[in-house]
Amino acid sequence: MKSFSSALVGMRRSPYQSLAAVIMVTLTFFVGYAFSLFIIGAERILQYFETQPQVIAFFTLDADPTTIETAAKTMQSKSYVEKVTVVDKQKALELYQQDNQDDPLLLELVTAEILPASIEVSGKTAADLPKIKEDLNQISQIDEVIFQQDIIESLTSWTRAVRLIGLGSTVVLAVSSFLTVLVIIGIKVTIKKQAINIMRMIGATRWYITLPFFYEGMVYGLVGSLIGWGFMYGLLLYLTPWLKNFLGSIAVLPVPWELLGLQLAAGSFLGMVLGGLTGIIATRRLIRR
Amino acid sequence: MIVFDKVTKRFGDDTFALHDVSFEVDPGEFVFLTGPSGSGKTTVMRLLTREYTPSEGEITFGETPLHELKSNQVFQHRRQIGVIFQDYKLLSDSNVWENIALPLYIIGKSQAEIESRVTDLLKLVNLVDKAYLFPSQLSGGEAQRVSIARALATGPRVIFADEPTGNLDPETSLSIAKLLHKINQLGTTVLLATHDTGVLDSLKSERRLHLDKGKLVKDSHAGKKPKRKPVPVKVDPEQPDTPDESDAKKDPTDDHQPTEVHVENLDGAK
Repeated sequence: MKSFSSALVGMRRSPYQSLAAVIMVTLTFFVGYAFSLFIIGAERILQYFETQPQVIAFFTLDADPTTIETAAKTMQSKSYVEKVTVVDKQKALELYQQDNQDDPLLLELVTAEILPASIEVSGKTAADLPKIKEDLNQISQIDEVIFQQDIIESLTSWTRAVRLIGLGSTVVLAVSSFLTVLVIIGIKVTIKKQAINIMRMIGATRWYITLPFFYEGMVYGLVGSLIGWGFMYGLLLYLTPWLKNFLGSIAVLPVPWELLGLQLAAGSFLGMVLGGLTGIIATRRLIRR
Repeated sequence: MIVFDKVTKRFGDDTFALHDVSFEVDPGEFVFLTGPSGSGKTTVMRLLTREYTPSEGEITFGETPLHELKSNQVFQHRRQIGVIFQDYKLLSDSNVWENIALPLYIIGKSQAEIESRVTDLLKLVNLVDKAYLFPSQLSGGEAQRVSIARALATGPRVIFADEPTGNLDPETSLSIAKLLHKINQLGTTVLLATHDTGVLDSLKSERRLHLDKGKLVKDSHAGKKPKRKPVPVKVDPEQPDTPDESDAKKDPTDDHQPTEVHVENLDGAK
């Protein structure tokens, strides 16, 4: 406890250095937390699209029901297929009527006979969709296969890009934070070099000398993590109405409390470990000289 | 207890801080290390605390050859030696109480024990009323007494005082020398490096090792047996060693009735 209070006294006596360290660590954690939520959200959106009927195969108008049923069973047996839904002519008409119920003229003109039957197939992942399309193209009496390849591919590449940018930014900021804290604690160790020499002369272990700086690093990590999370949460609350409107039926918000809690706990733990480690490295580097 | 056997300390190829120095110090001895500046007195201290390692020869402390100490054992060795410096080397951002308590915190004593010991040591060096002052608020003599109390805190086997009176006026110097002599009489081996003639004259009967240009040129007790056996370290809080005029005039070997500073040394005090 003496070492911990020494760490707090050390921070209080050099407030600008401590503030610089906390701001840098806070920025790192803010970006880290924000990107992690963004990545989790993007994954959820991708999952949402992946669970929707993604490939639709339209049969020719004269396709018989047995062929349609056989095609559905064949597709369902594939390991990469999540779900197959058959839409026969009658159901296609019902859907058409439902979509165009405001336009009676269109409803009068269209009958089940002129609507093609179809099967809607969902893949387990977006990467399976080209294979599903290929399989459906090989089935007889299929007139056309359509799927939202562009949307899925675009979303997948965006998710990957966001993940890379987030990871890159977080790593760059984490390295900057590490170096900032290393330099700040290094300055403090240098200032206390005479006191450290005296302590070593009277029999202090390296660990005894290192401990206050270890705690100081941990405090920077913890405080930076807590403030960074607070800013991120504030931003999330501020953006929630707009995001809900933007995402429509995609249920990403509100972010579950369990997830936020886990994020805060993991981030704070990581912050304390990295901060403490930085304190140890800074002290040992200078003690060795 | 301390054996220097043909010890040489060289910096570079031909700069000798110590050259072929051999001597033995027995437990309970009071030894002056004398000699002009640059004669190697501080090097002896640094070799003894394993701050330096000898270029040649061997140093033994107790039963332990110092060259056999691993780097992670050096701190344990240093806890057996109380070091007093000419410039006091007190922590400027800690007060008197905290400076004296520091070695006790380092060795992990309980708060109650630390309070008890620091109080006793403050009485010993007569600084009870200055416990909460910072080093910058103390006179040279007071700062040196804090340094002595800190050196004594853990009950070391040896006190090495390196020019402890170098920054002090003659009167205060004598009182510091007397305090160290009293500590020696209570059982702690004391090595006092000094070229202060006033101090040397006040304790004429004690052993002197005279160094010059890194060589041991004279040992006043060469071939003689040590005059004292070691006794437990005691302090007398009721009779503090006050650095006042009357104190400086008293016979430095005057004895008193000590009480304990170390719990384990309560009985058997001289």
